[in-house]
Amino acid sequence: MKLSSSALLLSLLVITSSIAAGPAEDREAFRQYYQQRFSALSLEDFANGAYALDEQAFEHWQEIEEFPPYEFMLDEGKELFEEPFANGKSYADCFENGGLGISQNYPYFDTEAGEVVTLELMINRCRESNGEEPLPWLEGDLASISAYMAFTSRGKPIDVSIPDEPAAMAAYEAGKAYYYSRRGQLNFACSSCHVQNAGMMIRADLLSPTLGQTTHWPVHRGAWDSLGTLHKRFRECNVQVRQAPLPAQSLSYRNLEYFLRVMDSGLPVNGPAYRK
Amino acid sequence: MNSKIIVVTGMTLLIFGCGAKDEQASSEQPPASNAVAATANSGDQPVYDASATPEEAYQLTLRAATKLQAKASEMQHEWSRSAEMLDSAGELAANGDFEAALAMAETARQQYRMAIQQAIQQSDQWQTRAVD
Repeated sequence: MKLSSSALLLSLLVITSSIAAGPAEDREAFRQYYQQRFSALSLEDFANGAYALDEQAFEHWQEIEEFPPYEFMLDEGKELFEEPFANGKSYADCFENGGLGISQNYPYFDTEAGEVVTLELMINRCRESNGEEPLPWLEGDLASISAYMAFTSRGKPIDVSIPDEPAAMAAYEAGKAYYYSRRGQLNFACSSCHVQNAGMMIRADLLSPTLGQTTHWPVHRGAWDSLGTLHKRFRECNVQVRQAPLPAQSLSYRNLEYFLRVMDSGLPVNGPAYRK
Repeated sequence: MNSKIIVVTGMTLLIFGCGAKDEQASSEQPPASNAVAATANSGDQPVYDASATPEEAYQLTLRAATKLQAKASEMQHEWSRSAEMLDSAGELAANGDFEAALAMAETARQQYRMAIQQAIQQSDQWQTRAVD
């Protein structure tokens, strides 16, 4: 009887502590995990992704970033951003602070609509509300505009918080569950590579830690030879484990982005960037 | 037909007396290439019998696979190559090679079935993890 009472008490304590573990606790646990695992890195270093883990690759990457392959698309993004719509309005009218230096606050949870709103979603909603056609989600003009907006936020700490609302917390939890759920014929979760095996090689590639995975988007990937959005990478990751990808900006991907950005809150925006 | 396979659906096996259901019971095994025939049932598990043609067996398996595909997709656990297999099966069937089409569609059906099991297992594991 004494034993069962003790076991019950212990279970209650564990359950209570798990339920109490909110996003702030998750983020702290994440940071501790990675900083113990990669003790030579500062927190800000994680914004450099896998390059933070390999000195030689870091130097090579820095050389690429001196004359980055996305430079023209960044200029194009600025032009597109400043070009007025047919009705005379522009993107600046849709965003706070004229759309400049705000990407660190995305995605956010829209308490009225009850959903996560990403920067790319907001760009296309801005277009549609001004009578323009939405742009394709994965690359092209949308990625260029998003890259320009990210560029104006460079150095600013990511600041994505969760409002005190059950639906917002549910979105965060859904994103977290997606990250840790094994999928596809290869039976991999996102966490299989980027938590358990971060810093290890997968074929010829170094696996990046989860911490810092959203600081630098949109990204010009050498494998794509173009600038692409985060959801393009989500889709690619799904396909790599032989999982049918979801549509870009689907609710599940937006929730996933929400979870990752909450984990990255406090890290500096350093997008757009080049990745292998 | 050289050999005929008659299978019974709905059969479950108890393993090690612990009550676990083995869903790989003989009722789910695809018919051998020369053992064909099918009768439709309402579920996602085809019931093969010895009297139908390869085309009928293929059509039955395709229907079962399509049903599972919708479920796997709804659970966001559809595997990426299963749909390609169904497409290939369709091409084989269009060329009249129903035995090969049947084999291909059956492989896709099994993949969808495993994808659904994966979704259920991952969901259960996540729920458990959240409270222990």
